[in-house]
Amino acid sequence: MELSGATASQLLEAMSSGATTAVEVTQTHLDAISSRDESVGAFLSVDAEGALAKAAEVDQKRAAGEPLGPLAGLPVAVKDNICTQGTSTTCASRMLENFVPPYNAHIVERLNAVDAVIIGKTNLDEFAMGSSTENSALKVTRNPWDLERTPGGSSGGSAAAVSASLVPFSIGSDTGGSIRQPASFCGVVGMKPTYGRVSRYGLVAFASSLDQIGPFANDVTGAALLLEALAGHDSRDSTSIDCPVPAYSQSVDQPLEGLRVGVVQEYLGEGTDDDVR
Amino acid sequence: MAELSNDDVRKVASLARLKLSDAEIEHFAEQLDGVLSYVHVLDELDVSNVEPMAHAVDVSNVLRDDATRPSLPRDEALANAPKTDGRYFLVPQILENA
Repeated sequence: MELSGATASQLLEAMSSGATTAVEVTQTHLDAISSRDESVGAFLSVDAEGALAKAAEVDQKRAAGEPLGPLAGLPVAVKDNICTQGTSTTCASRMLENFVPPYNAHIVERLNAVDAVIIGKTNLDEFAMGSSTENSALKVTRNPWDLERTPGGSSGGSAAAVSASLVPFSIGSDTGGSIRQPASFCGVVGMKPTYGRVSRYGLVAFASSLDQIGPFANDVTGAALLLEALAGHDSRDSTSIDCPVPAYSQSVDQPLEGLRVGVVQEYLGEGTDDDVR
Repeated sequence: MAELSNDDVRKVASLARLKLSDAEIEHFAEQLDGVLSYVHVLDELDVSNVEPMAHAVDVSNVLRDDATRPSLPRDEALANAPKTDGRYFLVPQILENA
């Protein structure tokens, strides 16, 4: 099986069956970043050492028969406006170019708790204010499908990283479309969870009453698996909702019959490309 | 129908610490009035049977005990500052002879 480009569930299966290891999965994705990210520009920083150490820890736990988290050994990329203790969090701004957070965001703690492997931090429009990832002070991210085009934004780095098969899934933040729009531009799955579903603790705020952290993935099940890990109550965000987290990944095959989907027709009016419409 | 008087604009400008000439007051009163009229299109909708919704989930005030708990050690809190004296953040002086 080709590891780079595989879905989260395929990778989990391959690791649990012994067909591959977390270290091999992580190394393959690090190699993909080395060979392809120069042209895409999805990442602002890559923590190869930290990622391989975490992957080795997962492999050791598995070998010892110790319990593993549900995302054990899966490489994940995190938007660079989410605090990671000990590694830079720039918000793609020169102002925070040298900022190294002294604490982890809630969702970073969650990713560590479920044994995911944080592989690096992704580019964004400065402080998430933009829709093309060209307004980053540090670099421009390009759309992997056509390097002359924008990946959308502001979570363009996270969307492009999944689209270019540099990671099976990634984390973005959405205030007014910053996950949904780049997901659409890059042809990957992305969703903005209900406000309050995911703790904003450690997310550098853009508009606090609208910001929400959410997943990108190369398939719906991957996004569901990631959201299961991110979601849940956190008392450090007073707008975080205290209600149970459903097993989203168990219901992705549920038929859509009977559901009504609202479409705002005005959004698809004049000026929208036929291919998009 | 003008809903926004020149005095309203004068008040908003003063709250925003903006100094506007009489001509500008006139100009912005007209513009802001246009914005309000545009939003009033929504008044045409009959929402008498629609329950108001502020949030997708029922939420109420969130309270917690006012108890002390561990916080960031001082050296870690100061680690990102360009300039400190080891105890406080040092910032450029902005008031003369302070």
